[in-house]
Amino acid sequence: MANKKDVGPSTPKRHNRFVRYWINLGARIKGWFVDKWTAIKDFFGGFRNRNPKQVEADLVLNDGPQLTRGEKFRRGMKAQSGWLFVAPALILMLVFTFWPILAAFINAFKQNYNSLSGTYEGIGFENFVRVIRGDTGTGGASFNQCLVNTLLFTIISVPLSTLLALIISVALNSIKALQKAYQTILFLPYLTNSLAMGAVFATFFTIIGTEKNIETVGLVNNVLQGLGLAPVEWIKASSPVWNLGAIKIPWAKYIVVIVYEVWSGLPFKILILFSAMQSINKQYYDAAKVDGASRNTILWRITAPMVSPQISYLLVTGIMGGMKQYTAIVGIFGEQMGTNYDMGTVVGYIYRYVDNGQYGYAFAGSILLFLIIMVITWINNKVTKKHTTYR
Amino acid sequence: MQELLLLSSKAVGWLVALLIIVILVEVGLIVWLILRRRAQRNAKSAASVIGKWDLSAGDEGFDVEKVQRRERTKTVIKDIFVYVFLTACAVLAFLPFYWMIMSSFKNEDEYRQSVPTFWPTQGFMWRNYSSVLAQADSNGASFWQILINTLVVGILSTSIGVIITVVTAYALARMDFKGKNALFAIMLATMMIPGELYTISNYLTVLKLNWENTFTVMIIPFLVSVYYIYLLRNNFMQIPNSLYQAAKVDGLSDFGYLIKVMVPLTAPTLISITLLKFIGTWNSYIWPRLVNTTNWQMITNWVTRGFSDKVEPYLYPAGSQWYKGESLNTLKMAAVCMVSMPLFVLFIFCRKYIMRGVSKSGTKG
Amino acid sequence: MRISIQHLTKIFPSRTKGGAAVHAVEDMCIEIPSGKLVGLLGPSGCGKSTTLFMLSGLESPSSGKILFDDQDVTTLAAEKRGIGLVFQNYALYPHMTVEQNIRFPLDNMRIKKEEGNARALDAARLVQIEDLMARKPNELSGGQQQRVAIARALVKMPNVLLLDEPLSNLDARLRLQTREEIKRIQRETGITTVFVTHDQEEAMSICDIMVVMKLGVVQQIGEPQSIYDDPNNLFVANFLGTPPINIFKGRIEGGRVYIGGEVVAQTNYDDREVYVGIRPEGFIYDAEGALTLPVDHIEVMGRDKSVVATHESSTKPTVRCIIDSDVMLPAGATELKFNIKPYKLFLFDAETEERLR
Repeated sequence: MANKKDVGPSTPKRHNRFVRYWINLGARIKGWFVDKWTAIKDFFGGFRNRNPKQVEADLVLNDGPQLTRGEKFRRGMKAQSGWLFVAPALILMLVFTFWPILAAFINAFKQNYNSLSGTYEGIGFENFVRVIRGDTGTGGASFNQCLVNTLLFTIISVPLSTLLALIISVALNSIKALQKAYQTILFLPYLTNSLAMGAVFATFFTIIGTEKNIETVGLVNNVLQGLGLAPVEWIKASSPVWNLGAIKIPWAKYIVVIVYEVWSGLPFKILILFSAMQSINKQYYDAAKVDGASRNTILWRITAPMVSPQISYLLVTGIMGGMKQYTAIVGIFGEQMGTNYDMGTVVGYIYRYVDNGQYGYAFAGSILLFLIIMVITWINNKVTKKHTTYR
Repeated sequence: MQELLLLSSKAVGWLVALLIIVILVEVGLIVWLILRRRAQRNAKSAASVIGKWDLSAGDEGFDVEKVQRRERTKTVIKDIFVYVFLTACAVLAFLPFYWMIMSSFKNEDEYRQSVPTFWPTQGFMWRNYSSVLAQADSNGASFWQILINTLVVGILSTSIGVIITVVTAYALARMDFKGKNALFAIMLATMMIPGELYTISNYLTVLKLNWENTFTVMIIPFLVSVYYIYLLRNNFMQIPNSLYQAAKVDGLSDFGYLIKVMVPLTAPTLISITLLKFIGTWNSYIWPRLVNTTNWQMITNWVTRGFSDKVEPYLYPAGSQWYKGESLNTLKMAAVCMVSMPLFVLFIFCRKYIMRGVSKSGTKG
Repeated sequence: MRISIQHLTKIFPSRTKGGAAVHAVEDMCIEIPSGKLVGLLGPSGCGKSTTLFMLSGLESPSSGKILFDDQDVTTLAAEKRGIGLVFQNYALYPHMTVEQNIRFPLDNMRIKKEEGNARALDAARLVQIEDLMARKPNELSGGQQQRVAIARALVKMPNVLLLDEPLSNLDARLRLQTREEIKRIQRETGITTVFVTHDQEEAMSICDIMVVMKLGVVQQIGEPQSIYDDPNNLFVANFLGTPPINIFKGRIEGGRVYIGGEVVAQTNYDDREVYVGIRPEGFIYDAEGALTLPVDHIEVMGRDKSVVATHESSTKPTVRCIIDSDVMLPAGATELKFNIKPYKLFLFDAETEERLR
């Protein structure tokens, strides 16, 4: 501290202890800032003005005893400065991801939760019980109905489109001329707005009816009629359809969704499988050819196993995505999701209660969705581990 | 002329049916062939193989020319098969777009004909577009207002989001700090949780903050996307460490290294991320519908509303059944076209990046 | 099986528009007797692999013929030729076990299960990997993978076995061992075998017949020793032997061969400029010798010693002379004189680089 030896004879004026203390403190504070400033400057300004030896020492992170205090601090700050970099993302995630997840788990158990006043009547499983029993007092499709719908769409459309994508990719992989062109066209449906294209698909299937003396049955029914079949009421028509000879099939509307899901799911799957096939070393095919493998053998014993990781990836992501579908249904069936939400999906169910302001049910529904997805993931992992042949 | 066009339209209808049949038949044929091969394989005995490579001998002698010819025929048949199949698939993939574009140019009468036309036989209704552009809902939100909303939100959230992604990925890939791995693990774990779970809570948060009807509410909650951070981090990790040391010896700061070395090296991924993030904003529907009223909503929300002939100059004469009446499908198709077209333009110019990005990440944003 | 290659030519169209086409193999004629081990040797890009792939049927020739025995197989597809091919990096199917890999060709031939199993096991025994049958390729070492690839090629009892750079992916010690192994397997099975290598030592050590190629053109065909002792041209002489041959610029004047001002040999060729090639083992130390070499240093290698010298006429920076270790050299000498063994000295025309015989 204020040592007498520090104040040499050259010092023009001797201060008393008190003043010395403050001067010293000031110097220390200044030093502290200078240290930090050097550290910051070093961090952003680089090592331009430092000698190469020191740079080298820096690189091997040599913690020699000769380090100055500033140097030590610089090292220390640098060691933790990663937090500075992740801070924006971290803060945003705390507010908009971590906290909301926690809140969802808490709020799902509050009965008659009022979001604005924050009041609720007791804690328990009532929300869940009501959601599962369909006892929410709003009518429309129950959670179970929505879950069945979602599972149905997913279980049929995902394997179907994956298989079709596999066949198309194999075909695409076997040609040379126009390969890029076909690939591009087949990828186009990916880049669409699912709401907009849902609306287009709806027009394919909609019977607009006999209103105003125009008998419009929709494109798909036109094809059916062309084949000499009766038109089908795919999506519930706004006006009577019986004088068009249209038949009602209760599950026809599911076909609309599945056709759309397959159509919109194909491009991504083709892209993944095709690029996986392209990256298979050509030598395997040469080897198989020398070994006398036929095209079929090559497909089922070389190509398919080699892209099996991608296939399982596609099935997993497809099922995950399928469990969360919502906008396509709105695009096809409108915001009511069919007649009184009878085509509702799990996510549709959740947002319906958000719109209604019954957040308890929405929270309960979303936690149920989370649990269902966890279960599916778990099953997926089990199955994938068993059947993905390598890697 | 009219009849000819009508006839051709009918022919196209048949063609579509034909294409579907072709695909079904081809798939069936493939399955049949496979099954037949199986059966043949089982039937054939090993004995027939012995002497297979006795090239000079054999039952009928070994005729290279004949074998060659048979091979060539097989290849040609296979090629025809494959191209027909792919063409059918490509046509079906493109059909909805074609239908959408053509419908947007029809008039409502033609659109609702019992036999659909595949070409606007009654002239192109360019005015469908001007009518849609001129429409405003009760709150006064026109297409332009909505487009500006979308662009502002899209550009801001994309640019800020990408910067955050780069910085975070850099820290996670290159820097050492306590708790890094735990942090990364937690971030990845949130990818498992369906977005709905926190969307609702976020909605309530936003309500409490009185953030409805702002751009902020559209931008802030979606700046961080863990998947892109993960993607970019992996990309960063692939850059060899020796490059970092070389840069250090050359007198580059950490920050300089990030900007001058890492970013250029991972530029393809960054471009992909930027594009996909923007497309994601363009397609966002649920969140803006939840938090914003029409004036502040986004382009996808705009499409879902009905469009009718209600703005002057009217498309259809007074007394026509469409005059100011119900919502018109052709107008809706025109709106759908307008929303989809920018995506197509983007795709045409950035096909490589979009396809690469998608094949890597598999998300829409 | 006898292989006859007649006027085989392969021309690859140029990658860039308007560029020159690449002649990978030009007018190649070789007769390979049945049951021989043949090595295609040459620097990279000399067309040896292309030749191998044309033999296998994976690559089709631009012109010329390939005959197996007397059967023309030029246009025959690979799977119908009855060949076994071992790829440079083995091309083992990563998703199949070793056993499945070996059985794969048999499955394609629709051979019954029991017979197939027996043959697969035989093949595995031949290459000594029968303990590894249940493993996947990525659980094997490079040498083991190599053996699996050979077993897979052998299991169908091919007419011809083709190996593309079979040793290049192995480390040095394993390489030595594996090349003995290939020789043994070839002897045991008696299959006509063609293999490709860029390593002359490897080719010399196991080949019955060696084919030296350069830029798509065959330079010399013959037994390894006879090619070494009697090279056709400067390239062949230069390519074979470690350490490589010493080349001097020289001339023939009046029946004498001059290097610099010294006469190293007698000859009856006309006067001309020549390259004089002397094998390192062709030098005999003699205080009165014909050729004077300024010594740089001497490397002692136990069995023999190597004099590293320089010479102004040498086309290489150093001249190497290998002499017996019991020959006593004067200590600290800056110059040494040597006599040359006449059968280790080759004369090449300076313009054509062809051997003067």
